[in-house]
Amino acid sequence: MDEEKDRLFEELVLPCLDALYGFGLLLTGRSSEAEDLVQDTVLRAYRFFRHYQQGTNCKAWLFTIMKHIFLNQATQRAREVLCPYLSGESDALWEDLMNQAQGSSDLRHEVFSQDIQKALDHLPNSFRLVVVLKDVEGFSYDEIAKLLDCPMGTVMSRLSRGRNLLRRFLQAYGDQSAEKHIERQNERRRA
Amino acid sequence: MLDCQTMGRLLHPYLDGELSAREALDIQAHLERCPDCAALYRNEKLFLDLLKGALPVPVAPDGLRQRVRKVVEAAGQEKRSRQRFRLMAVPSLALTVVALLVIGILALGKKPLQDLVDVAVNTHQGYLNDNLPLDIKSSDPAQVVRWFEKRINFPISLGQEPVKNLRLRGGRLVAFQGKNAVFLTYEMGQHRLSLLMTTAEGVNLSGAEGFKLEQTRFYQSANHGFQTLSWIQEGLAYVIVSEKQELNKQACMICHGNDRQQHIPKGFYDKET
Repeated sequence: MDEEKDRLFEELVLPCLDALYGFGLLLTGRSSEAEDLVQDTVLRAYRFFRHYQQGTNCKAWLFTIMKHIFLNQATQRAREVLCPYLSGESDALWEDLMNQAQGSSDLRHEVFSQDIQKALDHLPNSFRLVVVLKDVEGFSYDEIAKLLDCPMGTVMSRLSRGRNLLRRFLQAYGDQSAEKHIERQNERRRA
Repeated sequence: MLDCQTMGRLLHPYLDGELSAREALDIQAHLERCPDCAALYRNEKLFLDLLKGALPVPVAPDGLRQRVRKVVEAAGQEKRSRQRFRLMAVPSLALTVVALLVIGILALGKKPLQDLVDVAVNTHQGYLNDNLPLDIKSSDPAQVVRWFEKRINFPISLGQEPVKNLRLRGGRLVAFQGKNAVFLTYEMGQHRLSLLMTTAEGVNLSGAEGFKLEQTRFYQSANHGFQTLSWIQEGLAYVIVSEKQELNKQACMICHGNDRQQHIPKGFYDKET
């Protein structure tokens, strides 16, 4: 019976390690802390695996465990990362970020594949969390709202704003790449 | 009939597959009629496809994978060895009687082992009568956990979210059979409630009545005018003390937070108190 449970645990939990590590990185911002968080999460999940309801979203269950451990370990920091109303929520701040994305000069020299990561890094925590949980991890709006303890409307608003900001950043990089391309072509012609 | 403004608001939920069938049909009907929204839809879809394909997917370092496997294996071995020990520890009736007689003879003249439930009730009473002050006074669970973590050799985890009507007042370190126990006390409206927890080794929970849910047996008892609820789980023993059993049951949210369904045995709240 236990062997069967252990086998099921390995089958369901171990494939989520990459996603857990990614969530740990989002929460802590540091690789070593993210690794510790993953280890604590998996260990706790193992001990409480009998409470996991088969057929439900195991990844969402694991993310919830990780969030609770993070809250226990680093309350203040956790509030800054997870609190829906601390960063990037006001219209004025969002407008600022949109303008910054439009005109940012220090961001205008990357190629597209690198641009995404950089654009993501420039998002406020609360937007980045929701965008990654939806567009990388594939959670539903409802699952994200439960995980972050916030209303569904907030999830929708943050997702929409986060994606729009990413688009602006990426457009800025794209415009710069196009300008550089034309410049290089002109130089070749002149030569 | 859907207007363009509503369409703009629902476009991402539509693309994310979050709308009901009826809403999705309304959107499709609008897209067929409105070329502007149809163009917007095509652009958004293109962008989201591009974004989802390009967002970096995290990869855990190989070292972490190995580390996690080792930790899980070690936890599994520990669990299995505990189970083996339990099986080996089930003696025959005759052996039990002999052992009890020997222990009884040896224990003659010695003070009987103090029961954890008695300690919980005495500490709760002592605190209420101002005879036992708190070592740490705080309503912040994280601060209280940090204080205890340096002084005990077992993990404690308290729910961080505010729980309705349940306010932490602080805690006190309590000695029990030569080891440390954690005493936490709470306000619940006009009522006071306390939780005592320690490692389960050597703990004997007394209680006139018990009920078993999933793998956990809960005991209820009345002691010096207080009601207690006690149980052993995951190697830790817990006793909750207050005036009423119904308050004791609500206090499970101390550790479980508001998330009752996930970790509390099914049917717990249905058991009559």
